[in-house]
Amino acid sequence: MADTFINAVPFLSEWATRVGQISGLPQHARRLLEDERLLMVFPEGTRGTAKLYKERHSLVRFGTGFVRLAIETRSPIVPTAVLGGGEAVPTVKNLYRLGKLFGMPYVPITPYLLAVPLPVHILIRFGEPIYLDGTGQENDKQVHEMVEFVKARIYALIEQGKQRYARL
Amino acid sequence: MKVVVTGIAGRLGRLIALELAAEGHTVLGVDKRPWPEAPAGVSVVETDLRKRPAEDLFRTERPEALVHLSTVTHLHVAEADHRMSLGSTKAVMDYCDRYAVTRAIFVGRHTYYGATAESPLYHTEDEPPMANEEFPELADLVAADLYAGSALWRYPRMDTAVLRLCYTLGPSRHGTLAEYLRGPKVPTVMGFDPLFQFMHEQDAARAVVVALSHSLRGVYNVAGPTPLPVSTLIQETGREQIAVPEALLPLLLGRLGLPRLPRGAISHLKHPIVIDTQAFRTRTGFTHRFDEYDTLQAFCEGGSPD
Repeated sequence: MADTFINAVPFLSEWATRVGQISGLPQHARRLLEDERLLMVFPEGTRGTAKLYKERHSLVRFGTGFVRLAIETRSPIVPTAVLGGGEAVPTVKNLYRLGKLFGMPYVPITPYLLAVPLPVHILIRFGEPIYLDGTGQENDKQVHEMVEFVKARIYALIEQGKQRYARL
Repeated sequence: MKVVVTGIAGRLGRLIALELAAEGHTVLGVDKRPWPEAPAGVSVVETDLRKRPAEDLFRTERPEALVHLSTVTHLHVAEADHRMSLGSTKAVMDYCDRYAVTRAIFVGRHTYYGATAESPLYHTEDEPPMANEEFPELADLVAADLYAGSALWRYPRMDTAVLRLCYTLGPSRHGTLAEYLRGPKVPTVMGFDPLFQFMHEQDAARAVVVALSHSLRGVYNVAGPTPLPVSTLIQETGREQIAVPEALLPLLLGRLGLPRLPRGAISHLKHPIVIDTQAFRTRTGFTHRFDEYDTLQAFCEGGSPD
């Protein structure tokens, strides 16, 4: 699933249709989970893609919708760390005003200007599934605690993976 | 059963009338347009639904059921007709109540939901209409749909169903999508390839008759096979796709062999309107007979429109 801004941008929209991307809306996520489909969620959202090269092993704020969906649809969460994304697109600056002109959140700039991915290794590490108990009526504080728990598990996977990634 | 079909002289109206007549129903049509070759078992009153002869039909014939085709195609709607659907829908609802009609089917369009970048891919019946500010020609259709839905609480003794049909296509080569695909060159918005959802016109007519026979109550989306990207639609019908930058498209429509489209229709060439039809299928057991390629082939092999 991709951010809805993609649907409004010429050619990106066309690409999304051709490859079967759908908008990252809660309705879509719920539909897929209720249909017992596997869903990959990036809880950092577009904030996560805006990380600079020097911030590549950090995690920014997580949204809370994925936890609520997991509880409501009784879906396990498999914490997953992806290492190498920062190396693939080594962003040195994000141009937010230019992005606005194109209807995008920002335009990433790399040392070679264009945000074309480099041929690098990507290491993906999966953790043990997390089964969240709940009724779907949890308040924001309770949900935030669950989000932080998932985030900590992912962060631990990143830390464990850093040395191995360096050896690749 | 005596069934009044409004808009009977249109292509979908005729197909519905033939389906009903084949099932042994007595069909009473109302339309401003004539249908001279109407078959046995089908009679047509040529009048505006808002006029006295239309009400006379309900008073004298006392039909049990109504099929109201409130759809006005949004490609060539005259300015004066912008409130036609709503006005005629209100009129027939009043007749139904006054003359004790027990079942009513209001046929609307899936374009009710609007086409926006933020919309979910599958629209469900509980969603509100969106993007009418960009497409004022649709406002009448949306108003008629919402007004028809109010019959559910306004006239609780009548089984009312509002069907939101996806585009129809077939050998008649009539309808919104057929108009768009009519010429050898079909315009699209450069950089966009939205999914289009359509069903064979005979399947659409059968869905309406199936809804009537099940005494449905509520709002239901009605669709057929899997939607296709508009580029595939154009390719499969042997047309030439003319991809035009969005800013230039309004200037070129109606020129250089391209069809005329209202400005608001451009959003429909950028974003998909796809409906979830699960509720209708579950409730009625309806399945389409023609898949997407059968439907496109039937359109290609169809005769010239009148």
